[in-house]
Amino acid sequence: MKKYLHWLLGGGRYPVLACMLLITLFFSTFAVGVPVEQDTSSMSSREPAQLADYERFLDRFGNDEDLLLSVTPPELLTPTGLGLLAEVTRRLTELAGVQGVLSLSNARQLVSGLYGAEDRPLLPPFDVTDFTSTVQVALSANPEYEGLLISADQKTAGLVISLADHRGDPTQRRRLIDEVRAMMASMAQRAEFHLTGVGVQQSDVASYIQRDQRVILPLVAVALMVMLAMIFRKVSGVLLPLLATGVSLIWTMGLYALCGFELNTITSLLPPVVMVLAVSNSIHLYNGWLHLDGTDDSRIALLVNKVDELLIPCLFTALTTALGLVSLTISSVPAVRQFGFFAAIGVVISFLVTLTLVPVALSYLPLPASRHRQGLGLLRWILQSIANLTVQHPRAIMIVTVLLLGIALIGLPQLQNNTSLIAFLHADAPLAVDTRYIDEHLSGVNALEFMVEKRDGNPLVGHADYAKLDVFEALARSQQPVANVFSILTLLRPLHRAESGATSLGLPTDDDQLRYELELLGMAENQQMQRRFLTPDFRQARISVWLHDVGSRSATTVTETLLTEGRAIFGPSYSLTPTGSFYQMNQDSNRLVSDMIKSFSLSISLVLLSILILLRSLRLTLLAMIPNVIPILWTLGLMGFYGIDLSTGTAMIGAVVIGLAVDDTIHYLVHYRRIYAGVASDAVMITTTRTGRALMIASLVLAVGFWVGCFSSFKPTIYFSLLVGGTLIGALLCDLLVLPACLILNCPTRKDVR
Amino acid sequence: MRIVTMIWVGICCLTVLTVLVPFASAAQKTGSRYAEQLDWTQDQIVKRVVVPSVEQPQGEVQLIRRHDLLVVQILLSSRILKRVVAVIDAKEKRRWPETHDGYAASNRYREELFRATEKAWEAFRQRSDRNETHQTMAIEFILGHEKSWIALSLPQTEGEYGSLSLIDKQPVKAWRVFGDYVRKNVLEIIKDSFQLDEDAARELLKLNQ
Repeated sequence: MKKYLHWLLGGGRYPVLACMLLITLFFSTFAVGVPVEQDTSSMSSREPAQLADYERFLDRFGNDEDLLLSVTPPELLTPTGLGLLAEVTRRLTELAGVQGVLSLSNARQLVSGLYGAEDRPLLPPFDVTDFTSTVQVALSANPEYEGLLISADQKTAGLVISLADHRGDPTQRRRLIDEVRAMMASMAQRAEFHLTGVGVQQSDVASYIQRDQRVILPLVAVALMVMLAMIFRKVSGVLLPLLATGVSLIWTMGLYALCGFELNTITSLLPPVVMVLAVSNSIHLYNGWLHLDGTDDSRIALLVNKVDELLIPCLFTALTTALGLVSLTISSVPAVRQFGFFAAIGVVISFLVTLTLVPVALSYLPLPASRHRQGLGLLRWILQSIANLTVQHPRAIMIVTVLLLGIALIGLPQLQNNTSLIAFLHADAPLAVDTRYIDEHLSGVNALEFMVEKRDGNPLVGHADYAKLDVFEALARSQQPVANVFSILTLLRPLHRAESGATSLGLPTDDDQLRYELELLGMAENQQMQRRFLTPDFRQARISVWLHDVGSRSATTVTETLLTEGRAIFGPSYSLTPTGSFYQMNQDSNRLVSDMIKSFSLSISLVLLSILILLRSLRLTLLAMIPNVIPILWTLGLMGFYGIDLSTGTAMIGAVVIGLAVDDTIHYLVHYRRIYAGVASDAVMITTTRTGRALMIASLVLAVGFWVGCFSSFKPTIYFSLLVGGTLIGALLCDLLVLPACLILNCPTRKDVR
Repeated sequence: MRIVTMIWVGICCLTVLTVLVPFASAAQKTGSRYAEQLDWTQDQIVKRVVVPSVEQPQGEVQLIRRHDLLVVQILLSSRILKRVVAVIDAKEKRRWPETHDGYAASNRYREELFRATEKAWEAFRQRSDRNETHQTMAIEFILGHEKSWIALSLPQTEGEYGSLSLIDKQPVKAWRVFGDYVRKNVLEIIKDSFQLDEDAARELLKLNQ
């Protein structure tokens, strides 16, 4: 190895630098234009059965991603207010990508005529006398529109904008949403507008990702720069780690784009995380170089020795970090898998880049003056105090640690998974404001979809089929977070009332009448509504259960209740299949806990194995896990106490942190073992004061780097950044206090340590 | 006395006849009165078209030569018969407003059409083949040299749209219509169904007479 290092820092410098420059130029062409995902498809698992159901649902009933627009003019039920609504409806209908718009202005009502139902506009002409009271009568006769097209207080109108199938052109929806918002802005003086829907959520998420890339990356760079400047107080101490970090970032993101991936909510974390992780090895190398003592003639030889000394710990710390991240690739969410894999690649790349670029760069520099070797006085004093504390009170440290652990374990069961795309955003984000408004005034914002069909493949044309649908609908309506339920019955009830001349809403009670009414629906001029709820061959029916924005936890409870009781209602000859993008999101959220446990177990196993290989001591390997598992348990307990939900972001904390936190432990134990001479307290005292500086610097830089993520637009990213940074500080404390205490309390013979 | 008895018997017979005749089968009565005009067994279909469109077929309009009569038959076979008849009713109302000469005849036609539709629905509900989903009705506008009639019946059909053929026909109502109503209505129906202009429609009717 030393031979290679001599070549690298001698004649190999220029060819290696030229190669690195070329590779960097190559990857930078891809890295500058990493595309951003326009939908949130990578956040959904590719669970085959679930995906097949959803594809079948889309084929049968079309897009389930309607946009919801609310319009609140000063006086809605007047010719002026409804005239405005008609204008909005017309303008929306003219937009490319809009399949249809349903609003009060074009809604129809069915009235009884000589030959049965007659189709009439819901609204009277604007010049009719008693316009408002006529509208109110029409609305009370058609209660199915309440919550969908008009709020209960009759002050807000809802518009359902059906989108054309955009599969294959993800930018189309974003263009459309921009156009709708431009229209809203142009009419803002005349009414209050709010826009939401899965499409808007996905489009806005893409915008937020781009915004975060613009804001967070420079912030991370600035934070690293400030930290490095404070710690090293040398220009080279700032520039070299940043250079290695920048090159690692370009290579990683270039490779990411080259592989055809797009940035999503989770992988948008990749650039800041890679930057933060990449700087760690540079700090150890630069810190090692600062401590070189000798003449300028011997600087290359000294540098070679130092790099050689740090190579194995650096390799293993990179390896454990990468292994921790790689464990995320068993997640069921593609975005998490992509993040885990490419963050691990980033760590490997940063190891190679740092261990090449930094020594080569340092080889051009004269040896540092001795004052730089002293380090920060305050830091030295802190480390000395910590070392004294661990040597004098190891039992007290362990008791406090166990107490804190006990408290954390109480909070752990309170940890729950919950995903809500709106709750992911800041409370004042326009999408969050709009969604809350529509959720409060109209029919909720999330649709839980169910497909009903007969197992024998026969069409649903018996009145008994629809009686069952009716009972299921009533069950769904009785659930607390359910705002409204829509199905073919929503259309069938007013049709039957008009056909039969009845005064109240009901359903046909014989098969011939039902079949006739279904045929009438099938023959209607505007097929848009009935096609949404019943296939033309009557074989599959759709029930849309609209929920208020309650998050995946409550939605899952409702889904389970509806599935269990629904299957009892329909019986074994029917299949009741939950589906839709909202259902998929809930299912993915439910898998978070098992995903987290699996990836965390895998990362611990891999990290344990690599430490065992490095230290070749089972006892030390097990001791090494104590300061790393404890801070993770503290963090999870804290999340439980503070009600921070387990989401796609926060579920990654354990796997990411274990690989990072163990780095300090490795550096500590490698040094401890090297200087151990039979007295643990002596070895602890020396190791803490000598390696503690690099550990503190590396951990602080990592933590501050992660904390920059608090400027993100997404709460899971904020929690992830905050908690990873906090856990790393916790891990540092454990490395400097708990690990030495354990080593002192479990002081073995010299033979055991070896 | 004998004469008085004979008068009483005569009165009783008349009374019985008066009471019973209205209860006699309307079909038999209709069939027997206009048996010649309604005899469809020798019908020659001259021209036919699927209505309202091949994409959404609900029946056929057939131009028929029946002996020396010209018949325009609307043969409906639809799963939504009532709605189809409702469309016919609406067109009729538009063509023959109250101010028009043919209003009375049109009004009678519409009333009979409504009753026939109800009968068609009842017959459909009592069908023996539960897999049958189509309700049927035949409307015939029959043009003689000087007279015209309208007949409504419940047919049994076979074949696909475009080649529908009758297997049987149960007369529901037939009546003679005075005036120009049937001739003018037939012209409108031909124009509408075969997508012809006035001259072409007149030529078609003339050719086939």
